[in-house]
Amino acid sequence: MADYQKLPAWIGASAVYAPSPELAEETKEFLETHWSVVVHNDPVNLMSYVTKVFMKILGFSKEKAEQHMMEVHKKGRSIVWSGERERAEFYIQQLHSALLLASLERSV
Amino acid sequence: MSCRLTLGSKDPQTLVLSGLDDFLSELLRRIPDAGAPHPDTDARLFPRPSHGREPEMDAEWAEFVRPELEAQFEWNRDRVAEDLLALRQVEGRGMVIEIPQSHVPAWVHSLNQARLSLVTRHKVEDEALEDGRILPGAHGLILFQIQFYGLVQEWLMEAGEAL
Repeated sequence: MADYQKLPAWIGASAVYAPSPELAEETKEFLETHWSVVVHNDPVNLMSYVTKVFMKILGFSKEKAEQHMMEVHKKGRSIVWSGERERAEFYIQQLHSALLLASLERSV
Repeated sequence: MSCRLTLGSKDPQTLVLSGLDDFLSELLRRIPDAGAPHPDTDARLFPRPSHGREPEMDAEWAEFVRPELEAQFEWNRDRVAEDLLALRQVEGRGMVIEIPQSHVPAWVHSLNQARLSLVTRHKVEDEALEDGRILPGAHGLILFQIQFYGLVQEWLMEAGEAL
């Protein structure tokens, strides 16, 4: 990534975006934060359906999908994925398109 | 009165549900409407991704992602409605409907959406869902509709292609 602070002085200031150190630090912290994809229990969704959705969207094996499905069923929630925000949001969108009750939680 | 439903294959690309009577056929015809947008089901069908903990994220989601989800749900319901137009009486087989394998995911998701919407709109309690008994009256009819949709959903998931 370019270090805008060290660009030659002849480059016009209007052409360069130089974030303040505070903003850069906040941005870095935001991007590095881990996010958890959490699936919550819903008595309407069929257990077999939830298992198939986990296999399709998250690429789980049948065994792993069933383990998470049972965790949702018995404990009310299961963390099915953790990582960077963009991918977590993608999974949430896919899970919502299958109408699973899923949420994104910050896990620093 | 009873009927014997059968789910089979016409060819590798087409599932056939037969043995439906007029009542069950009518329930199938109601799938698209049952899952259609309704103020009471809005929060369940379009939940906020952070459940309110990250207001900015939830607001962006409502603006950019929700329209895509709405379009996806509508596309699913349209595929089901399209197949239902061909629901017909066949001599000795009752009412019959053909479902292309390529439409199976749309059917499975639409049935799921219809069940979720019916439960939310009619405030069906968890115990009633798990009980499985056939009850009289309008509420009993809703329960039966939810259970019937669940049964068809299970069958299609077993017989159809992966979601």
